[in-house]
This record gives sequence, C-alpha cells and structure tokens, in this order.
Amino acid sequence: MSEVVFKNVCKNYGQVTVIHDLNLTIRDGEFLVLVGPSGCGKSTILRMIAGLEKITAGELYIGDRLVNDLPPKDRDIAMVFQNYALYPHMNVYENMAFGLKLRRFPGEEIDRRVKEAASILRIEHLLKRKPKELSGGQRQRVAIGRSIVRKPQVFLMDEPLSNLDAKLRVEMRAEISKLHNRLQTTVVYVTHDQTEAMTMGERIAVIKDGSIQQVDTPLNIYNHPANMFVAGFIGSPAMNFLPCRVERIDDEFYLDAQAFKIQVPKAKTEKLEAYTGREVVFGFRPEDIHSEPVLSETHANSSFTGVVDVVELLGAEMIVHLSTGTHSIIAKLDVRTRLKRGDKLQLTFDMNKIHLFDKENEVAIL
Amino acid sequence: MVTKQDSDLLAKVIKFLFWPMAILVMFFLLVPVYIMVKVSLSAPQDILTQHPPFLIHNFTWNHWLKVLKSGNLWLPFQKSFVVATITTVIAIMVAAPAAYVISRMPKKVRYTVILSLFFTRMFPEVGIALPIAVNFIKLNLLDTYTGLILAHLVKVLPFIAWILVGTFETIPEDLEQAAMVDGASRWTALTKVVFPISLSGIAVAAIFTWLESWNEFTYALYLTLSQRSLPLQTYYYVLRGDWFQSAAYSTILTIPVALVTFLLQRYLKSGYLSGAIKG
Amino acid sequence: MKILKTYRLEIIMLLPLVLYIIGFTFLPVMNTIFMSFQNPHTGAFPTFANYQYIFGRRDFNDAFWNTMIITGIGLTLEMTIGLVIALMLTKNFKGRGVFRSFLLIPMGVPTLVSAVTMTYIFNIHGYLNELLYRLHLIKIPVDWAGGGLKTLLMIVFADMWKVTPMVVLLLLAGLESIPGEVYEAASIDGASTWQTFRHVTLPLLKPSITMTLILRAIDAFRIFELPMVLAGKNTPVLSTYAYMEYNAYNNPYTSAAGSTILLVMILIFIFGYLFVSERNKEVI
Repeated sequence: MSEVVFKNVCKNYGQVTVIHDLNLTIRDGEFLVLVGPSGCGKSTILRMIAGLEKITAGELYIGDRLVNDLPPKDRDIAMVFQNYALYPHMNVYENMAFGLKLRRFPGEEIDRRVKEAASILRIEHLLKRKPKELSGGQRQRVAIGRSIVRKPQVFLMDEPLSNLDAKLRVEMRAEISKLHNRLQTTVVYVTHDQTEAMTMGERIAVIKDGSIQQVDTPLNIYNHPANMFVAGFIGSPAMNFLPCRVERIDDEFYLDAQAFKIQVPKAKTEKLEAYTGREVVFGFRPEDIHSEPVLSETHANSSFTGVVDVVELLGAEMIVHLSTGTHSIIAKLDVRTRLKRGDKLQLTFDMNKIHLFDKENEVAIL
Repeated sequence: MVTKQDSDLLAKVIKFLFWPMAILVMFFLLVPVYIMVKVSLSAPQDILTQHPPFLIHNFTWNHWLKVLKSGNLWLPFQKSFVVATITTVIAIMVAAPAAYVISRMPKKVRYTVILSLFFTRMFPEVGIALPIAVNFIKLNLLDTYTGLILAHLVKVLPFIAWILVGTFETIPEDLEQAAMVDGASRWTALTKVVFPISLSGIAVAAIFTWLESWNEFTYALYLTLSQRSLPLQTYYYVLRGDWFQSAAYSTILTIPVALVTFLLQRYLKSGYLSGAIKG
Repeated sequence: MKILKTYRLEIIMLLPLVLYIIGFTFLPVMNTIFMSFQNPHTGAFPTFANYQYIFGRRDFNDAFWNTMIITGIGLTLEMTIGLVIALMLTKNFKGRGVFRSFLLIPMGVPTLVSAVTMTYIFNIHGYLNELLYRLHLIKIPVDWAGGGLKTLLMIVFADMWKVTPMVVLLLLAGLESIPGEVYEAASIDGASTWQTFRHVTLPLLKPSITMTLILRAIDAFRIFELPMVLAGKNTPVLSTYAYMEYNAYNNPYTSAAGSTILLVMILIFIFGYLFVSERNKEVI
C-alpha cells in the first residue's frame, strides 16, 4: 500500500497561509498531476510529501504511516528536482548509487539496480561521466534514474521537464508515462503546464491560492470543470467567458448576451430555474464554435454574427479573434474559408458543450 | 554644461594621455619590488653610499648566504609557518559550518549577519590586541604559538566566514534536499554533498587565510617578547638599520604571498578584496 | 525551547564562531573601552583622567591630526587614481592583461614589506633623493622621515602603492557590472564623454564607490604598520600612539583611551558617510 493521504493539512510561513485545509488522497499506483499557476502552492504540497517542508497543522500519511515528523530519509520516497540537483562531484553511476549506499545495500545489489535503471533509461554509456559533461536531456534521465533505483513507494517530480527544450519535453513526457506504466508506482507530478497535466496525469488536481479546485481525470476536468478557474486554466486557447442574463419565455430558457440571444437546450434547463432573470457567466471553448453556414440555418437560435479581428494560422486549424457587440471571442476553426480582418462570420455554438457559471462564486451551474 | 566640442577635447586628451599614464602607473607599481630585490642582491658599496646607483653594479649572493647560514631564519620561519597553518585549520573548522548555516538563512537575516561580521573590522586592532595582551601576560601566553594562534583567529575568522558564506550560497539547496530524499541525514548531506562540492572554494579561502596569518604584524607585536615571527624578525632588522638582512627577510616573506596572488588571481573577486588582501 | 530543538544542528554549527567573536573581539573591545574610563592606580570607574592625560599630550594631538590628514589625503588620492585606472582598464587595449598583472604586484607584497622597501626609497640616502638629485631638483638630500607634512605624504604614498590596486579591482568589478547597453543608449542620446561619465557611470558606480570608500576609510584610520616602520615615534598616528602608550610608557589605560577615540572616529565617519549619502539619495 502506498497511498498518500492529506487530512486537513495547513501550511503557514509566519503569518502567511500558503496551504489551506488540504484534503487529498493519492491512490496506490496512480499518476497524479498537481497543476496550477506559479505560486499556487503545488510545489509546497510536493515538498510536504517529501518532508522538505514541515506541516503546520493536519495529518499526512504515506501508506499507513503518519509521516508528519518523519525526516525525508525515512519516508521511502524519491524525488526528481526541477534543476535535476545531480551531485556535481559524482559521476552518473555514483549519483544513482548514492541513495542505495546510504541505505547500506550490498555492493552487487547496488550494481544490479543501477545497471538495470541505466538500461531502462538508455544511459549505460554515460555511467562514467560527470553531470557537467551531460546534455540537458541526459541529466534529466540520470535524475530519473537516481530515483527509480531506489524502488521507492512514491515518486515525486517537481516540474522535471521545465528546463528542456520543446521537442525534448514532448519526448520525455511520453517516456515518463511509459516508465510509470512499467513500474506501477505512485507518482506525484507537479507542473504549471496544463498540456503536460492533460497528457500525463491519470488524475489531475488543479490548485489555486493554496486550495484544491478540482480533482478528477483529465477528460472530466476538461469537460466538466468545477468552476471558472479550472475552466479557464485547462485548455488552450482558454475558454471564452461572456456575461449574460438568463431569460425565461414560456418553458424555454434563453441566454441574453446583448449582442445575441441563444436558446438553452431542454436537457440543460433543469438547474436554470433558480437563475431566471439573473446575470450568469456563459463559458464555451474555442473549438465548440462552428462556422459551417449550414449550421447557422438549421440552428438559428444558437447562432451569432462576429467580426474578424485577427487570424492566427496554425496549419491544420486557425485561431480567430472575433468581436460581437462589446465582447471579444476566440474561436478555433478549420482552415477552410479564407478570412481577413473585418469579415463578417456566422457562427454556431455546440449547445451540448456550453458551460454556465454563477457570477458570484464562479462555481459551475452546468 | 559641457558642449560637444569640449567632449571631443576630453576624448582626445584621454587618447593622448592613455599610454604615458599606463606606463607611468606600471613603473610606479614595479619599482619598490625591484628595489627590494636589488638591495638584497647588491654589494654594500652599491647601497651604503651617498649616491646609490639605480642598477646593480656589484652583484652578490652574500646577504642571502648570511641570512640562510646565520641560524636566525629558522625559528621565526618555523613560528610563522606553524602558526599560520594551525590558524588556518582551526579557522576552517570553526568558520565553515557557521558560514554554511549563515548561507542558508533567510535573506534579511543573512544580510544582517554578514554586516555584523563586517562590523568587526571597524574595531581598531590596537584596541583588541591591548586587552588580549594584558590577559595573555597573566595566562603566560606571550611568546607562545597558542597565544599567537588565538590572536590571529580574531583577525581571520570574520574574513574567512564572509568568504565561505559566498561559497556556500552558490551551492543550490536542492542538492542537499536531493541527498536527504536519497536517505541522508542533515549531517550526512553536509559531509557527503555540500562540503565535497565546496572543497575548492574552501581551499582557496584557506590559502588566503594562511597568508593573512603569515604576514600578520600587529598582534604579533603585542604578543611577542623574544620569540619573533617572520614579520617581526624583518621589523627587527629594519629597526637595527640592517638593509641587507631586512631586504632578504622581506623577500622571503613576500615569496608565498606573491606566488598565491598570481596563481590564484582569478579568485581575487570583491569578497576577497574587501575581506582584506591587506597582508 | 522549540526553536532550540528544530535548529539544534544549526546552533551547534554556528556557536563556535559566535562565541569566538564575542570572546575574542567583542569582549576585548568592551574591555578596552572600560579600561579607558578606569583609574590606572585605584581601578576606580568611571574617570576621565586617562582622556585628560592624553588630551594634554602633544604626541596625541599630533597623532590625531596626522591620522586625519593621512586618511583625508590618502582616500582622496586613492579613490581618484583608482577610478582613473579602473576606467582605463574598461577599455579594450593591447597589453591590458600585462597592465592588470602589474596591478597585482602590490597585492603580492605584504604591507610590512612594502613599508620596508619604502624605507629604501625614502631614506635620506635613498633612491628618491638620488633621483631628484640627478634631475637637479635638489642639492641637499631631503629627510623624508623627519616629520611634518612631507613625512605624512611619504606614508600616504606608501599606503597608496599598496592599496590602490585593491581600489582599482573593486571599482572595476563595479564598472564591469554596468551593462553595455546603458552606454550605447547614452551615446545614441548624444551624450559626450564627460556627460556619460557624470550622468551614467558615476551614479551607477555609486554603490561600489561607497563600499570601497568605507573599506578603505576603516583601514586608513587604523593604519599601523606603515607609520611604525617608516616614521617610528617621530610621526605618530592614533594606532601607533596607542601602541606606544602601552609599549613604551607601559600604560594600558591611556592606550585604551587612544584606541577608544580611534574607534569613535571610525564609527562617526562610517555612519556620517552613510547618513549623508542616504539623505542625498532621497533628494535625487
């Protein structure tokens, strides 16, 4: 069993509270990603698991052990640091063997494990080198190797890919995922990059200002964000938000955004009753707007007209910045029509994928 | 306000005077050293005259042979050497752990501590040496190695601590934390990771500390009756007016300092300079 | 108690240094200040007898003014020449490496030794007089160590030779930390050589200048070896005066009074300087 459980954990630095009442269970063998903007406390959470930060209040369990006051060395965890933190005075082999030596493993066992890890990571030919003779990607592998030789209960990774160039980052992303499939050990992975979180995590915990906003699978987080922060943070380009008013005409519900008015499908109306006549925030992802002319004719009550401001071509698709009334909207469209600044465009919402948020507390209504 | 024409003039003046100035400065820098070596290698008729020549007319090794054979060199040399070495070892052992702790303090606290280390320099050495000397008389520590080592530590500890704080600051905290996650206790993380990495920095600091003690004059003067250290032996010959002996002793005193200064010049950064390459 | 436990290792590591500095620097200084107010014969405290005694002594007054003059002239010359040489070194010229190496020469020479070689130069039959004689500037040799301003200038020269390179390297480090773009921007804005120096270099260099000046001032006030070797008793400064009171007259109490006055002078200078430069900063 190597669950990691936070029970009502708080962390203060002097007067400043950086983690508020954290409750989180990281399941055995799971790949959990902690994601959030910089300064949100995600690294602090990771370092609390490692034992590098003391917990101010609450309880933290690894497996069945309460580890609040346990020093890092006794927690049976391994960590990959953002800047790798390889020991510059040791060669690759010694770097990987260091933790095992400190734990007084027999020499052959150390040798076997280091060689095994080196072959998994394809760094056997580098074992004699010093860290300064390695490239960024190689250092990254050594840092991972150093943690896997230990066969710990939990791997902790603190933005391990942020120092790599874009291409290498994509490669290593896949490699770390593969490694996790192979080892089936619990991984807690910190990143500020939502793409990394989406592609690597089995579950994602989105964090803001020291509290968890939502914990779920990537798909659920994407499709059913719990609040405006999660909705805006996950996904690129970010979700569009427009203020609008809920109107009820007979049994039909409409969203009035002044520039346009659209009808909410029957299936989604049930929670809207309470918001009748009130302001809400209407959210929709750029890819959930479509420009096919046919659609605007068949779905007249979910269409609007926008004026093109900027077009960014990405190859297979394009990002179009539009304005409608006083609102700015970003849409991701197929590259079919040639668009230029000032063009008028008929657009249709995919009404099954719209989101509504309470204006006061920003929580999702639907 | 200066007009454009004036500025061109200034630029021209600078250009015109640059090389004469550079050569003049280099000349001034070199001359005293040349004269020291010259005096130690010149026959008396070159020196003890109303009008000494600027070049060596009558070369001789005699002064050097006299210094080496006289038997007056060995004891002061030994005293300076042993005192400098032991002072350095103790200074490292006391200052390195403390400097490490200081380097890991929060920025504000660290700044205050460094500043107070710097403040110890404001105390006049004669004011510190006086009560130490008065007390050492009672403790029978005058003329001893122990006494001089204790006094030299006063001089070198703030200096070396200051330097080492800078050295440790360059070692990322992540490294120790990695070691602790790898299974090291705080102490093991220090001895197996932090200190080995900072070894070269510590070594350089040690060498400069050694020189500080090797050259030290003021405390030695207060704490010595007859067992002179090398600087005091040099001073003794100056007082006696013996140019040849004082020149030769001066040269001996200079050799390690000059060697280190030129070999380790890339380390002569602000820290070392302000820490007093005063020697 | 909790702090003691959490930071046990840190405290153990810090303690030897702290104790040593307290025991062997702080307490002796306190002791000196205490002694300076103590009656040499009865041990009574406090008394101003020691201060009254030294204020009445001509040596002390000489020492006080000599210290002030040496510090004043010395600092001015060292900072000016140091800045000029540092500015020269920012230029990329052939032979810059050699020039830099020459600057290291005085650093490779212990202060005591520099004093000794200066005695060869400034001796009445020394090399300076010989040079001046050959240039027909003097007929009778000058007795540089004989006292008065010329002796002080001799000490200033000796001190300058030894420490100007340090000033140069400190200021050079400051100059090199000024980004090149600033100069490019100034030249595009049409600033002349002087304007660039006055309005770009000097303000940006101010922190380095302050640090260097304070470091140098402390050492200049405390100057000991050079006057000791070059001028002996004839031209005392405060440090050597304090030493003489102790060593020659065997009077630690008046020596302590001399040291205390020196300490007070250093403190007044540093805090006065910081006060003035801080206040000017606010005005600008």
